[in-house]
Amino acid sequence: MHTVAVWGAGSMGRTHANCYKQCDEARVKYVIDRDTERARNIAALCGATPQVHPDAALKDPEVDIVDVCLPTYLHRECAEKAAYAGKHVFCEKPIALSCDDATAIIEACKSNNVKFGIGHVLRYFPEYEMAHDMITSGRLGKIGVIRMSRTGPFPRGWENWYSDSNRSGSLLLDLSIHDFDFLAWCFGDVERVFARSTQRDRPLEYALAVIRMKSGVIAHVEGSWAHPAQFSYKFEVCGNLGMIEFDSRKAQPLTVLAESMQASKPGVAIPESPLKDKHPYLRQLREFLAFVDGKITPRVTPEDAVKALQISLAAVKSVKTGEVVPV
Amino acid sequence: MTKTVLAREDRIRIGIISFAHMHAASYAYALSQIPDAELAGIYDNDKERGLAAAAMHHTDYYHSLTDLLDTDIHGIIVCSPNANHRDECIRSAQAGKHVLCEKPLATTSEDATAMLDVCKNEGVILATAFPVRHAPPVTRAKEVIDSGAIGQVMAVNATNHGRMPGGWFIDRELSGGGAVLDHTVHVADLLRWFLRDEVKTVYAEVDTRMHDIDIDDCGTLLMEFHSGVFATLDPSWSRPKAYPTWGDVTMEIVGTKGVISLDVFAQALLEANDSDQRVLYRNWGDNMDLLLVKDFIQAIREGKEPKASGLDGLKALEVALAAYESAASGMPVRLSCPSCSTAQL
Repeated sequence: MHTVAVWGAGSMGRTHANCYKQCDEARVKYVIDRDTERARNIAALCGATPQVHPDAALKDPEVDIVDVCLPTYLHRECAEKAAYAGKHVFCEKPIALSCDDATAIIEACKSNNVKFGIGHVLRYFPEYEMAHDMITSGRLGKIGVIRMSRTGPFPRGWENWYSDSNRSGSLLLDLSIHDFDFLAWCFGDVERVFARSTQRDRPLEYALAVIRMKSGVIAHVEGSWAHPAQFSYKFEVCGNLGMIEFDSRKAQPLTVLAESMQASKPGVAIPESPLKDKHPYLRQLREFLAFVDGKITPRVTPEDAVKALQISLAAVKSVKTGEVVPV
Repeated sequence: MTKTVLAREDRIRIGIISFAHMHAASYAYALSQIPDAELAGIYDNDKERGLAAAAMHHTDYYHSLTDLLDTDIHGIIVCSPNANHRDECIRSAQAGKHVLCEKPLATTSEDATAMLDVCKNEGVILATAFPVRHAPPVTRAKEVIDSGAIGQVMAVNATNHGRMPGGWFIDRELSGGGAVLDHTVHVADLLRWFLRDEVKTVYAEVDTRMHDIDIDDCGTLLMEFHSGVFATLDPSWSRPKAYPTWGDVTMEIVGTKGVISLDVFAQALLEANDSDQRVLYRNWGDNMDLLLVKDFIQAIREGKEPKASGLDGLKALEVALAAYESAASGMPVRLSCPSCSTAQL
C-alpha cells in the first residue's frame, strides 16, 4: 500500500486524486496547495487532509510518493524537495522548462535513491498505444508522413500561469510536447525542427512545426490554444503499405444533450475518455506504483522526458530565430 | 490571327488539347452541361486516346493542333502533361483563342511568364484551372473570413492529399515535379486568395518514401506570408488505393476570434458494397469542374477576368518551385519574385 501526497490542486491534481481513489494499492493522504479552498475540495474527493504547506507531508514517514501536479516552473524546486525528503516522485509533464532543471530533478532522485515517473500520459491513451504498435510492428510499412494535432481553448490555470511563457514555456513546450514525445516513442531521435508560432499579445496561441526524424520520417505537429470551446486531438500516419487516421471528434461513443448544460467550464481541457480498464491516467499511475514496487520497468523513462523537452525547446528556438534547428 | 467575333446568340465553342490529364473528361462533360457552350473538337498527340475521347464526347478529333486552331473555336482547354503547356498555350493564344490551362500552369516560372506575356499581347484570356476556388464550401469559407467572424487570420494548417497518380505524373520530363508540384499549387492559390497576400518564404521537407518511383511523393511545407501569417501544407500522395476516396483538401484556418475547419469534399455518402468489395465516399456536392468551366465561358462571353488568372497560376507555381529549392538547401527560401506585383485578388 502506497501513501501519496498530491502537490498541486489544479485540474491535473484533481485527475490524479480521482485515479488514486480507484487504486486499491494507493491512497492519497495529503493534498497540498497554497489555495486552501482548492486543496480542501480535492482532499474531500479522496478522503485526504488538505495542506497549505508541503512540510507535514514531506516529514510524514508514511508518505512514500509525492505526485507533483504544479505549474511547470515549480517542478524542479518541488520535485527536488520531495526527493531530498526520500519520497518517490511522480511529476506532471513537461518535466521542466530547461534541460538543466530536468537533469537536476533526475539527479536529485538518483542521489536520494528514489524513483522518478513522468506524466507523458499520451503513451497510455489506447488510440495512441495502438497507433504506436501498428507503426513499430511494420504493419503500415515504411512511414512517409505523420501528422499530429492537439487543439483547444486557451487554458486558464492558477494565476493565469499558462499565459506567462517564463512559467509555462509556451504552447510548444506545454501542449505539443505530448506529440513530440509520441514521435520520439515511435521513431527515435529528431534530426531538425522548423516551427512558427503566433505572436502572443493576448491569451491565444497557435503553432505549427515541421520535423524531420533521423529515420527520415516527415512529421507535422499542430498545437492550438486558439480553438474556442472544444478540445480535440487528431493524428494520421501514412506508410507505403497502409495508413491510419484518428480524430477525437469522430470517436465519441456518447453524446449528451441536455437543457441544463452550460457552456464549457474554464480550466485545462482534459480529453474525456470513457474507458474502464484502459483509462489512461489510471493506467499511468498504476504503472508508476508497480515501478515503485520494482515489478516493472516504466514505459516512459526520465531520459524520454528530457528528449521530449529537447524537441520542444528546439521548436521554441526555431520560432525565436526563424531558423531550422537541429536537435 | 483575328479573334472569332462573338455574337450574343452564339454558343461558345471550346477545343480541348489532350486527354492526358484525367480532368479533360470532366471538363468535356462540363461543356455538355453548359447550354451556351459546346465542345467543338479535340486534339491529342496520342491519336488513339484522342479518337476515343472524341467518340465518347461526340465531337471531332483533329489530327494536328494547327487544324484545331484553324477552326472558329473561341477557346482552348489545355490538359496535356505540364511540360507541354507552354507551347500549346502560346500557339493557341497566337491563334486568337482564349486559354484555360490545367494546373500547374507550367513547370518553370520562365515558361509560365512567357505564357502570360503572349496571352496579354494577343489580348486573350489566360485562366488557370484552380477548380477548388469554385467549390461552394471554399467560397463560403472566404466569405466567413472576409466577414471578420474569426477575427484576423493568424495561421492555416492545410492538406491536399492524394493517391499516387502514376503515368506521366511521375515522369519528371513531362510533369516537372511530383506530389509537391501537383498539390502545392491548389492550396497556395487558395491561401493567396483568402489572405490577399503573397508568400514571402517557403520551408519544405520533401522526399520519396511511399512509392517505388523516381519523383517526390511526400513532404510538408511551411509558408510565411508578407503579413506574417504562416501556413503549413501536406501535399503528399499518401492515400492508399484502399482508402475510400482519392484524397482531400482540408484547412484549419485559425483567427484571433475563431477557427474555420474546412473539409472541401466532406459532402459525401459512405458506400460499402459487396459487389466490388469496396468502401467509398461518393461526393454529392456541387461539381467544381463545372463551375470552373462556367466561369471560363462567362469570362469569354463578357470579356472579364476569370476567377483564377494566369498570374494566379504563376504565383502558385513559384511557391511549389521554392519548396523544392528549400528541400534541396535545407533552408527557408525567400521567394525571388520577378512578377512581384500582387495579382488581382
